[in-house]
Amino acid sequence: MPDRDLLSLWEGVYLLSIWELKENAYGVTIKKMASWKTGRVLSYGSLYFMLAQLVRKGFVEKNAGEPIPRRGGRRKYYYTLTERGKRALRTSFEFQKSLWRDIKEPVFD
Amino acid sequence: MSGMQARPSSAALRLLRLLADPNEADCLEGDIGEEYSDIFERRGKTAAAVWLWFQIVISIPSFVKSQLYWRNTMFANYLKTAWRNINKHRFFSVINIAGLAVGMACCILIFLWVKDELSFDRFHPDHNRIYRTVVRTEGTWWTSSGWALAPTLKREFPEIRKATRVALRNSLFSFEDRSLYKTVAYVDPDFLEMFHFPLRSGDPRSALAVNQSAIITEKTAKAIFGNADPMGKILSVNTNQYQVPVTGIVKDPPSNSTLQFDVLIPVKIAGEAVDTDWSYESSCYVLLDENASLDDVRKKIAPVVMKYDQRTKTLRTLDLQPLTSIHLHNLSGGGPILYVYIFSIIAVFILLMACINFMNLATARAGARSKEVGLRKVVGAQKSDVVRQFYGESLLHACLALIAAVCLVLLLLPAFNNLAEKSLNLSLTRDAGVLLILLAITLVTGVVSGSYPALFLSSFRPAVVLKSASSSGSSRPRLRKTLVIVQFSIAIVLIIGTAGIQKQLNYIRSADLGFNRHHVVTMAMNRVVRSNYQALKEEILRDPGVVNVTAASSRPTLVGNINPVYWEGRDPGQYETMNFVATDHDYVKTFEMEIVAGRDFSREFATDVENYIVNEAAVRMMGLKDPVGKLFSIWDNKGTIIGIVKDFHNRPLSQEITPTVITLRTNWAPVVMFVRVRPVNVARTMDRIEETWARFCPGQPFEPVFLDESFDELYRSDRRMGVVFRDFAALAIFISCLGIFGLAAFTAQQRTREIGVRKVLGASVAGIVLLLSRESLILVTIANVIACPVGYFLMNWLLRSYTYRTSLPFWIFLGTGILAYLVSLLTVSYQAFKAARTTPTHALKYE
Repeated sequence: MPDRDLLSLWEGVYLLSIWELKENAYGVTIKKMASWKTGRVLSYGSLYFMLAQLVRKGFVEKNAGEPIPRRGGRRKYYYTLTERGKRALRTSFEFQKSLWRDIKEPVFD
Repeated sequence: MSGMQARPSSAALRLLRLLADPNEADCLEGDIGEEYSDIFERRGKTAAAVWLWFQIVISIPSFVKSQLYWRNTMFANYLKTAWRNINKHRFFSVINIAGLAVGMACCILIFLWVKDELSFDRFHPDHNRIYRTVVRTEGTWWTSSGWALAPTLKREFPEIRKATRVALRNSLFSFEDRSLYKTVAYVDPDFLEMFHFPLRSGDPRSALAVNQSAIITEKTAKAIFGNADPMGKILSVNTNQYQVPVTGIVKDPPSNSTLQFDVLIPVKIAGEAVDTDWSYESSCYVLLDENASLDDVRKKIAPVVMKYDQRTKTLRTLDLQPLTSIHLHNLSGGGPILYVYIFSIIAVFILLMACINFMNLATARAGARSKEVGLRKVVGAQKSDVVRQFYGESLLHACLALIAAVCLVLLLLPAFNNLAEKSLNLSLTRDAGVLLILLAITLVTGVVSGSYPALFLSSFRPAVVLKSASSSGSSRPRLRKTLVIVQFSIAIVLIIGTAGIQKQLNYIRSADLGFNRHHVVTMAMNRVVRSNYQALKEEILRDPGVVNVTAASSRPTLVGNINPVYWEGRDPGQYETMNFVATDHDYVKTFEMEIVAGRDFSREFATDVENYIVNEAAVRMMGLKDPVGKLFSIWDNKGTIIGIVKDFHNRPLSQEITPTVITLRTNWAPVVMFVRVRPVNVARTMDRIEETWARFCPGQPFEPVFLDESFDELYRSDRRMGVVFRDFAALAIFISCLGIFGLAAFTAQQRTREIGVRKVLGASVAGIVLLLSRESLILVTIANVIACPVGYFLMNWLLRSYTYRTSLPFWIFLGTGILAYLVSLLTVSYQAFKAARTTPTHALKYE
């Protein structure tokens, strides 16, 4: 199993959020989605630290949209999953499953 | 509501820009602006503002994380670049690192030495409360005091909790058939409680409680008893003067203790009378109460000597000297603390010189690296990034140098210990202080040597450096020249210092002492030898290799006893003391002293036993016009002055010749025997003397020492410092040479094409060598001009502590200057010749 494509829990959360948001995945929405999924208050600081990591690892792509006055004239930056990101989600999922499959005694009821 | 009103406050935005990762700041600002507007519209301005600030606060940990992350990534890149640079310019790197390593090694060695010097006597837990008493009188001071002082102080002053006498003597210890001279300290039982000298066996409370007892050090136990258990064995002191059982074994005093002894014996072995005896024959140490104020105690004890010692007539005040300052500070000023300062300064300078080398080469190569800096800036590096990069690079150099320096120190430490007569070691694991100082030295070296290149290179403007075709714009020559001048000035000052110290040492070695110290053998006398002295003397005198034999209470190199004297015509209120030496006949003859008036002692005058010979200093002090024939007495021993001896150096050359009296009186037992031998076949003569000695004093150790050796011993620490100074000066020169060597190599490389063109146009090799060397010669000249006066003042200051000192002739400065020229010329000329002899075609094809 390729180790570096094994996602951490939070990486998984963000990747799935981006996948679900499809064409509307940008900072505000991703943060809201991740926050809703986990029930935590998230900061923009942590969001962008994580997004930068994901971009660097090649799991997501960042594309500039049009400048919008509502954002103080700033562009929206849309995030989309790459093939590699999808593969990573799958490997992690399979790995999780295989971990549980091997457990004979139930850990909990 | 219009969009303009819903903008977050500009302060918050500025803060965000400052904190956030610059790559993400744009989207971050957009997102925050968007959500801010949402909240603003739904819940109002206050809620939006609260939300905004809350977001900033909870984002801070992530901002920090991201900053660190990028720094780390870039750091790896800087390290890689630095490593590539080191590899690419191996020659310069080796010069750089070698210079830094030598400088750091110097620093480490000096640090270890200074640490050891400062650690003297600090191993006693109560070292801050222990003092030695000092008796001060007009113009002078003594560390010796009356036997009765310690018990008196302890009895009279509650602030003085403990007090002990310490009288060091060289005594003969015998057990069965073995006899050895050992240093014995006669002390009080308080000694073991005040000082931290742990017993290996025996009970510290009772070991000295009985007057007849002895504690011996482990080394002494080994020397006298071998592997047998010494406890309870009876030792004979000075051939049955005392018989003492061994009641304890103490660990050997550490080398950083000023109190050095082989045996401890209670003072009271001499009887209870010592408690009321005020003869100045022992020193006294006291332990103050924790709450006592030093100033109060000093004020209270000041008049003690005058009050109890009835014989004292001039004003003598008692004072205290801290235990920890005994080693470092001489009471007359100066002392080893001077060397601590000097060497610390030298360490800093040597390290500075190594850093200067680094800066010099780095700035010299700045041209070559300007492209790299330009490119980094073009792809987005900030000035601070470049600064960081160059600091990182110099730190990397410093770390590499540290590794080399530690190896160098481990390699040099045995030799250094030998030189400085220390037993220093570098233990990184046991001593956190050493580790810290190593880190500090590395950091300082890295930062200092990196600071100039970092600040200078980072300010390059990318457009300018990238546009310029030539990468070899020689940059900042003036600064480089200044640094070289500083370096050479330091080195020249050190050489002048070395020359001055050596000259003073030579002066001491060849000084006319007023007596002939060569070819005189000295032998310690104990009671047995003393009782057989006359017979022994006659027998030795019969030897054809022997010129004269005499005995005295002290060596002429160091006449120390102090006694009150009286002379005919003295002011009744006047009280004076003089040094005196009690001798056998022929003292003046044996040492070839000169009688300037009157006559020497003679066997023809039976009354000479009561007569005195004084030196010229004594005559000056007494102020007598015609002293010969005048009445004179020491204590109550009345006699007549029969002769005046020419002044001889009875004290080390750092001190003035003191008024001195020579007497034949037998009240003072002679302790040294002197034999003047003919300077031929000395070894054969010595063998015969030893035979005679064994015949007359069987079983007494024969340990002859030549007087010139014991004279040299007086100046051993000065000589040692001279050697250490010389070696550091050599290192300083080495480092400066490395610096100009590197620079010369660089200049030669830079001017390859120029040299090629010159050669094509007909320049000679000599002309080109001159061209390349001229610059460094000018720099050395300026350095000479700066360094000479500095060196002159430094030497005057250093030699100030000698009353009798050498002059500093002009040739020292001239010689040093020429030496600096020669060394720099040799260093540069290698590179210059290499460059000058290259075939022009190669040079012109270059690049």
